[in-house]
Formats: sequence, structure tokens, C-alpha cells
Amino acid sequence: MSKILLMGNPNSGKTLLFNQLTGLKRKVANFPGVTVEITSGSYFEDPELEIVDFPGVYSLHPLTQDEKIAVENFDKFIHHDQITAVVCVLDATRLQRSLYLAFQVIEKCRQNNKAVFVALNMMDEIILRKIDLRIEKIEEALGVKTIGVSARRSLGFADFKELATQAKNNPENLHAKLSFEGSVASLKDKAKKIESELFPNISLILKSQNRLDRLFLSNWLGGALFLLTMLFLFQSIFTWATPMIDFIDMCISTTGSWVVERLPEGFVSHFVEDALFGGVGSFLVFVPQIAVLTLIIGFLEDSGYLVRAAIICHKPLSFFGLSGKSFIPLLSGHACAIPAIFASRTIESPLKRKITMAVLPLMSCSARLPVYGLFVAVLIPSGGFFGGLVGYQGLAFLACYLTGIVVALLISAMLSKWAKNTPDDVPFVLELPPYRWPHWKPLWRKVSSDSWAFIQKAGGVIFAVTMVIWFLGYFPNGADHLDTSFLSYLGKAIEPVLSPLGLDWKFGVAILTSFLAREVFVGTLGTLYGLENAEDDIVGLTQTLHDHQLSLAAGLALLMFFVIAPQCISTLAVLKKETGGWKMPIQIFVGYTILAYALALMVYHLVPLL
Amino acid sequence: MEVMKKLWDLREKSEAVIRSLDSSIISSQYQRLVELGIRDGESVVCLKVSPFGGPRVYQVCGSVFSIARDVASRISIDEAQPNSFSGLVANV
Repeated sequence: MSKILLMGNPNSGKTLLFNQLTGLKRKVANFPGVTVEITSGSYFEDPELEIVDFPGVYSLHPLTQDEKIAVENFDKFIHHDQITAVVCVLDATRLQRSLYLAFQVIEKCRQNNKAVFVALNMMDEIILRKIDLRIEKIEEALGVKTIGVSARRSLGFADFKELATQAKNNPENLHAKLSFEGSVASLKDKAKKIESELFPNISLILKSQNRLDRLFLSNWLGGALFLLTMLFLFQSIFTWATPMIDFIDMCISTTGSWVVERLPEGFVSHFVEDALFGGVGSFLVFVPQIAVLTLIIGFLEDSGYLVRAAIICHKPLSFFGLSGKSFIPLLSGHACAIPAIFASRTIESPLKRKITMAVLPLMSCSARLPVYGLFVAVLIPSGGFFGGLVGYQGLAFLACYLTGIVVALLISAMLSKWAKNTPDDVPFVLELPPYRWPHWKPLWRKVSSDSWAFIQKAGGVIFAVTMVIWFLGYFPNGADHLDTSFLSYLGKAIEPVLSPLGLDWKFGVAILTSFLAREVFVGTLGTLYGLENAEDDIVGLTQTLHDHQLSLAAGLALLMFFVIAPQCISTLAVLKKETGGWKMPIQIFVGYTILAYALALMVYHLVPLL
Repeated sequence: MEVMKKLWDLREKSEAVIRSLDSSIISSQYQRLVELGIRDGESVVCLKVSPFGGPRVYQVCGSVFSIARDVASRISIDEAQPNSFSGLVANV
């Protein structure tokens, strides 16, 4: 199959172009040995032609980890016979910067006799501002075929088709005619000259961006808008996801009971209802939260706001040895640490990247949510200040999140103190992309692929753990004899460690199982207290825990343990992959588990004194 | 001897020309700055001075960048005399 490679700067609209040129089917693969994604899909005009979307890079001299991987693979791909052409996607509104990468890519293609053409994207913005941009002049200056396109408005796709067909049938027609060898400075001079000759009014484009920046980066209003955005983000995770969670729950329980009714009472029906449907339910309920968070973060990123948020956060985060760029991973970490660890690749400084990854497991991810939900309901009375407007339980939730954040900041401050004066530290320079209204297509694709990735990667583990727990709890004496099951032996074995926290073996079992996936905790506890579907029936479990007189001190101690403890095998596995060894994941696991236990012990002894 | 002004010293809404990048900037970052257009001879406008010493916003080469103090204080500039530069300030 012939392939066309899309190369371009970050924010050049390359991914939207890719989405518009390919159908619904696409493949997401990783570069060999690493986790940087490379997406490909067949061209809608010619299913025999595959379009490959490479990660955005500023230049072929890479700086960040992501860029290094992308550039190394570009060097390899360009030698493949299957690659019929390379397309440089340029942002027409950022000509000077885009041209610099174009020179490098064109030169590389020239040296390797590879067909290459240029797609000047964002032409709709040029037309809207009535700017006279002569594409034929740019073509002349670059010595390669150049077309104007707008991925957003689907403009120029016929020209793209013509060149794509030529690349397949007569690639030699698209070989580069000019050489762009030379120093960085000479190429920059060339780009500047082309821009000033063909596009003298470039600063007009920046005018509207600068106007919006005066609002979003203004000292007080900018800060207030930032806080509002974050508040909105957190609120929507709860409010938007809840109806979807309820719907999923309803579907699973309806199907479950429909199936169980048709089965004979006994082992099989218990297995199907509790292990099979309970297992599926326990991970599917997280999909809505992950989807909502991915959607909002994706929207903020594509609109250009996320970079402004990083600027606002840079100074406060730098007190703790982090960079403004750590903000995005730290924020994503509240959904799930795994995508957040991937997001920290954009941090150029190896030290800050390492510190960010090290503290990410302390962000309260969505898997902790059911645990927080349960204990807040058990321990904190409903009602609140200002006639219930600010609820006690909501405040308790906030306190859980804040505890994680504060501990993370203190640890990063400590780590950066120890590692002070590392010579390879990289300073903070960020380009501010223009503000743009995000297009739904890439957003939708991101949401669906992240949700699917969660189902594939975490779902299996969670499902398997639920099964194992169910079996351990069912045997040797069958249902209703949990207190004499294999599971109870395990719990009783670790009871001596937990009794200083005022917790019994049932909590021990639940903690043990949650080390494979935190969210299993609530289900396990429900099973241990003989409640079916404890995830759905928080009220029932709350009542049961009240009846068993879980003390406030023990409950808060357990909550503290959950805020800090790194109970997620998947996170540790991803950390191992990203850091290239087990050293950091083991340090994190041992360190945070000890810290979690110590802090829980402290809480248990301090609460009665209050 | 006159001490050369740094990019960090540039006031909001004023313009200057970059004179040199300090050699203490590590080489990969130096190269990236030059690639982005932050290099000697380029006009630069300070768009925003953030409170509490936060990263400042500059317009260079048709792009807008946020640059933290540790970099901006290692870039030397010549500040503009009135009416002597490209008029970028008027356009921001």
C-alpha cells in the first residue's frame, strides 16, 4: 500500500487535515519501543492510499523527547519505498516559522529523491482577512508544488487529490528542485525574506490574538478566568458524567438480571451476576469521566487556552521546582495518571519531566473517586454552610484533592532541592498559538480513542481482579460464607499492619485488591459486607459501615491512605516504560506506600484529639 | 562601561532589537531559540509584564512567545529610540 506522510509544526492544523482526509477507520500504532503515537488512515478519495499523521515538530533538530522520537522515525520512514510522498503542512498565518521546517523537510526529501509538496493550511483565515497571499510565489520560492487548503472549511481538497495521485503515479514530478542546505541562521534569513516579500502584513494576524491575550493573561481577570475554568472542569466531571454513568449502570444491571433470571440458581448464576456483570460494570462506569475530562482538556488545548494556563501557572509552580508545562500533566492526572504521564513528554527539561512524573500518582485520579465518595458519605454529614449552598461533603471532596496536590508540591520542591544545579535543565519558552474555535472531529476522535484505550488497557486488569476476588471470596464454602473464604485468610494475615489504624481484616482485603485497581475497593468492601452491587448502592454500603461503627478517626485515616498510596499497577508499568527501568516505579511505590501509612497513622491519632 | 540591557528589562509595550544570546544558554536550547527567531538583529516587542516575576510575553518574528526570567535575562537588547524602529508596537 502506498503511503503519504504529513509533517508540520505543532498547531499547524495537521491533525485536523488528517481527520478530514481520512475516513472513520484509522489505525493508531506506537513507534517501535516507545509510546509516541502515530496515526494512519486510508485516504477517502483513494482507499489504496494511506495517510500517516506524524507528531508535530518545530524543526528536524529535536529538543523534546516526543520530537526526538518523531524526527528519528521520519529519518527511517523516508527511506521506505512505500512512502510515495511527504506533505509539509504549513500554517499560512505563521509563514516564517512554518517555512523553516519546510526548508528542512524539502531538503531531506531532495537528498532522498522523495516526492514532496506543500499544503498551506488555514487559508480560510487569510481569505477572511482579505490578505493577498500569492501561492504561486511561494511555490517558486520553495521549488516544490504548493497548494492552499483549509482543513476547517474543507477547501483545496481537489488540489490535494491531484497531487496525491501524481505522487502515486509520477512521483518524479514532485521532486524538489531547490536545495536548502545551510546554517540555521541562513535558513531563518531566507524564511524572513520570503515572508516580508509575500506577506508584509503578518502582524495584522496577531492583532486579534493579542487582544484576547490582554483579557486571558490580564493580571486579575486572567487569574479569575483561570480559576473559573478549573472550577468548570471539576464540576463537569461530576455533573456531565453522572447521567452517563447511571445509564451504563442501568444497562448492565438490566441485562444482568435478564440473563440471571434464565439461569438455574447456584454457582453459575452467582458467577454471572456478581463476577461477570459486576466485573464489567466496575470499569465501564469510569468511561464517562475519562471521556468528559478528555473532551474538556482537548477543547482547552485546541482552542489555545491551555498554553495560557501554563503561563499563568509557571511562576507558582516554579516555587516547587516544576514548570508551567507541568500544569497540563498535573491537571490530566486528575482523570488518570497514565495519559498524564504521556502528556509530561512535552516538558523539555529532563529534570522537571522526571519530577512531574514522580508526583503525578499523587493527583487524585478518577479511580479514587468512588472511594472518596463512599467515605465522605459515611463520615461527613450532609448539609452545609449558607443554607446548604456550600456542602460539607463537597468541601471534604475538595480537601481530599487538595491534600494530594499539597503533598505533590512539597515532594517536588524536595526533589528539585536535592537535584539542584543539574546541568541539563532547560528554561521556559512557550509559543502562544492563535486562539481558534476547536473543530469537533479531532476532539471526538481523541475522546473515543482515549476511552477505548482505557477499556482495553485498564479494563482487562480490573475485570480480571474482580474475577479473582470473586473466586477467592466464593470458595471454599460458597456464597454467604465470606468470613471463612480464602479471601478472609489473606485479610486476616495483614490485619496486624492495619489494626494500628483502627481497621479490621475486611478493609485489609479491600486494600489488597485495590492495589491492582483502586476502584475495586468499593466493590470488594460491598462483597465483604454481603451487599450486591455496592458500586451502585453506596447508600446501602454507607449504612452498613455505620452499623459496623467505623470510627471517624479510622475512616479519615483510610481516606488519607488512599489519597497518597500509589495503588495502581498500570501507572507503575507505564512509569517503567517512560523512564526505561524499574528504579523510579519501585522508589515511588515503596516511598508513597510508607508515606501513606505514616500519614494515615498520624490522622488516626490526631483526630480524637480535636 | 555601559551594561547592556536585557530582554527582561524591556518595559511593556516597548520595542527593542536583540543584540546577542548569552553563551550560558545550553546549546540545544540556544539552537531552538534561534530556530524560533529569537536571535540577534530581530525586533522584539514586550506585550505583557506579568505580576510577581512570572514569564513575560514577547512578539518576535511574527510569533508570540512567553519567556521566563532565566532565559529573558540572558538575551541582550538595544532598546528603541522613539521613531527609529519598525513600528511593531503600533500594531500590537
